[in-house]
Amino acid sequence: MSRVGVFLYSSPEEMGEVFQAEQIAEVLKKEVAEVVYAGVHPRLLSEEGLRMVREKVRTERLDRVVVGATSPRRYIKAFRKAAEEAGLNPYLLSMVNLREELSWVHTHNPEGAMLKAIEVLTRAIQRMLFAEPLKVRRIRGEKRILVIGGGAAGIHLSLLAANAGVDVVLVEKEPTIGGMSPLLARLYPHMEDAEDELVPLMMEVSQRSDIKVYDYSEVEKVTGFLGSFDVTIRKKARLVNAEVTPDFTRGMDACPVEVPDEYNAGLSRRKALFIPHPQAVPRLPVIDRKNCLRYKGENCRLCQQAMPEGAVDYEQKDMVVHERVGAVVVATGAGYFEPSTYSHYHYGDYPDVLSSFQMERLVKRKGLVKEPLRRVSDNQPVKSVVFLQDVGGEDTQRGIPYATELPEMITAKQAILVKEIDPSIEVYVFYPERRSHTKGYVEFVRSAELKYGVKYIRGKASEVRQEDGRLRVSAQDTILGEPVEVVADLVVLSTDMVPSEGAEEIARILGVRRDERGFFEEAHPAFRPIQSPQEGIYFVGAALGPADLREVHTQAEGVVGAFLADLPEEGRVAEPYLAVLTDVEHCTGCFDCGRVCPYHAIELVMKPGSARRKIAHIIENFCTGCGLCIPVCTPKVLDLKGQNLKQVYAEAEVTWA
Amino acid sequence: MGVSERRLTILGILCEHAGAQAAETAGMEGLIYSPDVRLMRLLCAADIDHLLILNALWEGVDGIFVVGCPTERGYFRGCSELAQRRLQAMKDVLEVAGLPAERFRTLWIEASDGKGFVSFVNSFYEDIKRLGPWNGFRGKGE
Repeated sequence: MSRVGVFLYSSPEEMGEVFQAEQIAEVLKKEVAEVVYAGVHPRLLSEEGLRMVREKVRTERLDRVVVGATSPRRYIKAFRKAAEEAGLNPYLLSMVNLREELSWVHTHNPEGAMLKAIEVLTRAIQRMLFAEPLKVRRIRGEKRILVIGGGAAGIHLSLLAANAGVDVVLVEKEPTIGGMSPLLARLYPHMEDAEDELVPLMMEVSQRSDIKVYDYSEVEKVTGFLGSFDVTIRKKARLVNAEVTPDFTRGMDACPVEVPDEYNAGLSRRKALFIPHPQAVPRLPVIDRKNCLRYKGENCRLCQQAMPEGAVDYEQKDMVVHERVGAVVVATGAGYFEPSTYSHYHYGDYPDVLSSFQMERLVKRKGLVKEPLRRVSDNQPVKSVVFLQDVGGEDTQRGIPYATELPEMITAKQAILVKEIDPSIEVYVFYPERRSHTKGYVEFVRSAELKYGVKYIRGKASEVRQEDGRLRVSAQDTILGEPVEVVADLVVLSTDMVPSEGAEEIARILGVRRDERGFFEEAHPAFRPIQSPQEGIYFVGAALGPADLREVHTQAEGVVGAFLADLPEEGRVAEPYLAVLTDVEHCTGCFDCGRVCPYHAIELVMKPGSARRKIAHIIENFCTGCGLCIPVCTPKVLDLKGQNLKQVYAEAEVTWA
Repeated sequence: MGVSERRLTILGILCEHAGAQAAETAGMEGLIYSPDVRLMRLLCAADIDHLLILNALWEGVDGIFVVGCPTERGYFRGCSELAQRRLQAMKDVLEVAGLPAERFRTLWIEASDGKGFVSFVNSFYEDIKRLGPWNGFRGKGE
């Protein structure tokens, strides 16, 4: 007969009055034949409790242990280790929650709580009697990750992962990797040239053999789990053949289409056959099917005619490819809030009212170029700039319900850049409140004011209007309590980040959730801030919420570390749950189990020694031990190690015994 | 509870993930329900063997319920939908078998929803109390 030991947590503060541990221990000793020891400890959930378990397992020669305390989710690991140290298989110890599931919810009924405690423990004991000694499983997986999105976050992450020995499949939906970051003027707080920082990294990504880049491609389907995901990628046709000739200038010149150039914040125009920007990686042209006349029903062939034969191929087809990876990282970035709902600021209406990204392009200067800052409307030199900081922030009516320090930082950076171009330009910032808090950021914003002479006025602008060829901004100074009016040549509306357009589709493909703001939702805001609730899917950068490069780097390092810890060389640690075929003779090979297995862990194989009959075979490395296959097995020849049918029935039957 | 009143036997089967965690959340929030409600844990709500539920009602358990992960948010891929399909079919089986389907109920819930868990448990408990004790078929017709 088994020798069962029961350990109960008797702290009166923690367990409450209805839990009479000593009394319960006495009853169990008397009424359950297998119980040879039942003890209580007021500090069971401490090293004293672990020592007690270790000692009693040895001295009482226990072969099963049931701990009655709090949630096994947090504490069972320590107790199993203690049992193991005393020579018992750790899976012969179980833990039931008598606090949140008993003493705390039955405070009104001590008598009922007492009876229930005895029954709960009896059930746990019966279940343990049929437990087998088990070992933690190691499940191997692909040391390779899929990175969705090749912007700053995806690039940093890919390089970090590759440096850690993890192969990378990087998928970017645009014709170039890099996203918008290399198009910025400078990076705060150290004011490096954004292009010089990012372009070399883009080049390194494309040169490395351990990073496979799918540019102008989209992820269509992802199935699987940590260690083994199958990915379907659509490589979109660029409709050009760069092998024929690298130079598409004549074709681009011939293209009759002109649309606003998104890579220059719409400040200039581009063709439908175009190269995104001079630093594009790969530096390949593409025909943009949204704007090309041929895809609007017209029979234009001007670019094809201007180019050597075969260089432009309207019939080129998309390609579908498959990859297998061990984890998926979402690095889809974000966009910026478009302040067009604030019609009194006339964004999109007055050409000199700009977005942050447009301003970034205007203040971008390379090296020794000393070009004055000019108005967009008439190219006249600028004498005064007004920034409206964080338009839309914390505005549930017309804007976005949240606010971060990003608009404040971007505004301060651009204000400084204006002053660096020409210190005589007047720069005003209307700010709703100070939000910067990250290390060094507060000082950075202060330096704009104190070192560069940018004038900060607390208050929101009520209106921007055009008068005598210049702009006038009216506002209320909420510190002085006075109305102010400032004349400006440029008005910049700095806004916060909003979820990227593709986020909804990616969330659908991956089966992950987004939060109420539309960003991807982490598993836990404090403990698992870069992980999805679904193991093996991680997030980095602005996909999770407004983030700057500092945060992108921190998170990218976190994701690589998390992946290496989740899927080490020797395989990921998994609980010993595993489907097993208990009776080869009676397996009919119906494959109901295989059809229901979400992890494709069951296959049909020839029955050993038979030429015709097939039986189920569990591929251990794919089986997550979820047990979904067990109930469909009609001949009852499948069972789940760690939760076998005998255990389940033994526990349940106590209820009606 | 009066001495003469028979304790009800209600068995709740919780999945280790959302189900058990919702029950724990309820405890942390200091919510109250009857100790006649017993809880046991299985790895997943889709692991439940139909015969277990048939057995429980045959043997005279007054009520049995299952709590699992919310739709499309199952811990295992698709487990909540599979469990829901299976247990819906279970209700039909109970009716065909002449067992009281109204004594079997399911809940698909977020791990953080302690209130939802307790309000489900309490309303099921009240319904079972109204239905009165169920003696099952134990020893009859065997």
